[in-house]
Amino acid sequence: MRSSLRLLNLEAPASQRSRNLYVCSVCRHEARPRPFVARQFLRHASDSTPITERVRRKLWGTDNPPGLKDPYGGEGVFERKFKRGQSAPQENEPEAATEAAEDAVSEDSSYEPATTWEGLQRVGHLGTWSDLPPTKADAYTSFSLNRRLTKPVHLSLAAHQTAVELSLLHTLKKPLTNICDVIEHEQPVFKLIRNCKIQPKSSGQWDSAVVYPDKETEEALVYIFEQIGGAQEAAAEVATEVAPETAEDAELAEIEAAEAEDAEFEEEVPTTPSPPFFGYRDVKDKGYLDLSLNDPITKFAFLKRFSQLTGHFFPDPVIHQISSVQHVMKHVLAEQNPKPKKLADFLVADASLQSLPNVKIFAKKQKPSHKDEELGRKKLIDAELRERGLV
Amino acid sequence: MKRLQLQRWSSSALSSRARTGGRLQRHLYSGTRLQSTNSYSLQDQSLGQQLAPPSATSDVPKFTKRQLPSPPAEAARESAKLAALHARLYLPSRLPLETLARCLVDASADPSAQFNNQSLAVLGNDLLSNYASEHLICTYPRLPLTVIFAAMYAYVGPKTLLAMSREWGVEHAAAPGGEVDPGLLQYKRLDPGAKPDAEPLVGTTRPNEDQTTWRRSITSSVVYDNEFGDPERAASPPAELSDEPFLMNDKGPAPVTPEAASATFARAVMGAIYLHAGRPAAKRFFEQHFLSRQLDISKMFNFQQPARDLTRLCARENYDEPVAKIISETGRRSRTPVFVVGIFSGVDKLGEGTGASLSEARARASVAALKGWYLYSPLEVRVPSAMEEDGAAPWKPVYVDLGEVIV
Amino acid sequence: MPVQGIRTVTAARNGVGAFILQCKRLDFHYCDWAGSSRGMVSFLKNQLTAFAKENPQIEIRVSPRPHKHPVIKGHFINGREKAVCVRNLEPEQIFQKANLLKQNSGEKNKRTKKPVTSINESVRGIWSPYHGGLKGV
Repeated sequence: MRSSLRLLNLEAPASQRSRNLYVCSVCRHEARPRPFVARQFLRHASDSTPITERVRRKLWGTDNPPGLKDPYGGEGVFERKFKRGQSAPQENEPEAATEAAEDAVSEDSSYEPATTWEGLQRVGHLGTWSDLPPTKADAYTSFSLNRRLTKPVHLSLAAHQTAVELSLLHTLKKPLTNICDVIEHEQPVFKLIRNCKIQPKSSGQWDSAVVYPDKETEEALVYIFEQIGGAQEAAAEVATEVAPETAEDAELAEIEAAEAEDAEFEEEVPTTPSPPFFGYRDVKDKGYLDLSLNDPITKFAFLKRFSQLTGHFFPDPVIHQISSVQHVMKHVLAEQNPKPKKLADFLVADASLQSLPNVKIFAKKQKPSHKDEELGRKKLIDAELRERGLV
Repeated sequence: MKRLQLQRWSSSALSSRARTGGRLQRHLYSGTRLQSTNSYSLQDQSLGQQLAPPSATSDVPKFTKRQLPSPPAEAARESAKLAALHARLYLPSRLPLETLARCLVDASADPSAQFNNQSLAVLGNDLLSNYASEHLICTYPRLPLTVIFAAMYAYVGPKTLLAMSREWGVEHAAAPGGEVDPGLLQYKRLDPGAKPDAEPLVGTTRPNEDQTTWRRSITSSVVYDNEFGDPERAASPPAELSDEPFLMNDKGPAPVTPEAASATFARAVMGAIYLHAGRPAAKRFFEQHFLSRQLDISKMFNFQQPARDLTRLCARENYDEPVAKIISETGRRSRTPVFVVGIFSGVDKLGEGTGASLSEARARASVAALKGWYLYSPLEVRVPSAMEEDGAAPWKPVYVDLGEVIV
Repeated sequence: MPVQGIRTVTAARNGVGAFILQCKRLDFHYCDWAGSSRGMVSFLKNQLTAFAKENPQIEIRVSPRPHKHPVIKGHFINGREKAVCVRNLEPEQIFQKANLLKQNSGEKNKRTKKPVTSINESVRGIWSPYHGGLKGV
């Protein structure tokens, strides 16, 4: 059955009925075209071009109207299945051929990816892309964490880490968003970052706000962060080539190099689920809360890195309002405890209302059985029902 | 002036439940109360187990609220009804909600003297009758005793207390129990159709109570009967009142009428105010809630033979013999005659009355004369309890008459 | 027995000594979902605390009544109850309705013809045909 026929089929019985039964003049006026259409359709049922196609031709005024031949989604499910069963082995070969051709095209040295559609014969894939085997590029890795961190400890750890990283990059005068290339630090690096404190200078400046616990940490962190961004691998190679000053530094460099490689082949290495932030406890230093986020570049970098670490996203109005790290934490923590949707929860949480002795708040609808219970009548009813064997 | 330390004495009425301390004790008490629906032997066993380690509160078994005869003390803080009642009665804030909750538990609901309002009601009843009687006697020093009894009944009688507790907005629970809101008055109700006063009262304070035909004088009812002149059940010895709820018989406490339960409640409130807020607060409560009610004492007299009484009264008071004289009359021969008769003692007119016949007019005139005598009220009334206030003026003895004439 | 006492009961004069507010309980019903309860929800959120604090002698119960219009129900000391539907009302109007119930006596509405009613005797006394200004025929 053709698709157009399938569609018109629904109307056919109604039209037949209208012919037999009595219809008032108004209704007949409305009902008249239908049998006419049906008959037309019946007459052309054996034709090769369906009615829809001929209408399209008439509308466009040409024999080859643009657009799809069948605007209703092609063949039906069963037809497609039947067809595939017949011609599946035959179709494989041309597909493989097209694939080979594509490969040849892609391998061609003169191939240049187009930037605009102008001059292209066709936009999109040449064959059916869904039949191609998955490539590396198809795999999707999320920019941010797949899960949202909810514990306040983790959130404050993430904020602290972000603050340390960004202020380090500030002091090193590097682009701030580079830090997002490092999805997760290795444990020793994270430990170093965690040990740092943040004491912002006046009015929450980011420059040199980091206070290192000792000299070694400072050197190590500066060394690591120097490598972030730009040619990572080159830096790593340099790090391995140049004799490291201390054993620890060497280790860290190796870790960094390994990490850089890891970051490339993220999807290949099976990541074991580890506790976020290696199960470290909260930082005692709360100096990072005073850092200002008035500079839009810093704000963007901070929010980007923070949402990468925690999985929290910030809507535009909120971003607009945020002016310090404190605000970020406040927003994120408020998201954890959303306002109660039910009024009863809201009223129960209201301390001033709860302190009033003459107010009683019920979360459920009060039914006559509640009144019975309150009056002590319910036990009598229960006992009586039990006695009569009705319960 | 030395004053009695009544607060110290009242510790027996203020049990562990009403006191702020003694939480452990309260726990123990509430833990040992498992007397409700279980079989007797089972209770006994569990009781023995509980009593063996008396200090361990953790051994208190889990019990449902329904098993308790009255709501636990903790429930009082959660009841909005109770808090509203507390505020509605303008009770002093020193009176805790727990005590008010205890006032609402009648002895028929919870036989344990530690939890019911019996002790508070005894104290409150004494206070009420004291204040009411001193007010009546000082205001109307010549009232006959029978009228005083009736007036006492009108001020602090059970019917009035029932009406008052209704006007206070106290609702009654259908059946007492631990799950019931503590703001409801709890008592064991009578079965439908039961007559509470069917059997004559036995075990009263009156001697020879089995002799129903003997004459009962008013004077004897002053001695033997209660403040309303009714025979009263003798107070049970303290051994029976002790805190032994598990020795209850199968029937449990006797059911009471709503009237009796409401009266006990109102009295208990009075006692509780006295204990927690002191005497001035109790007196203020009495004046505001009891004394402010309207009572027309002149309508409480029922004379059998007013003319004879008046004659006896004049003889007692050494007045001239009362003489009835027609002041005016109209339509003596008509269908509706009216005579206006005055009673004169010497030249003083004692009373005047109108009637359709001469004897009726004379009787009315005698009643008016007697009421004029009996309803004498001094201009400045001072009651003995006014002396309890600080800086009270020295007491001048009030005039109290001999009372009614003895015929 | 020369004279007997007749037992009666004293009559209440509310407000002569203590004043007992006649409204003893107010039930606030609302629906979490329906839009007609919006004003009620806002009232309960913002103004109920002040209202309850002002009237400690009224027991206030707040309970949901899903898929119904919001209602304030007042229970009175005389045993009657009055319900006011407050659908689509603003919080201010709901406050007025709650005040109306609070100040209500609970009696059925009736027309007051005499401005003063009293159970006390008239100070002027009742007119008698036999006293004062008697005219001889």
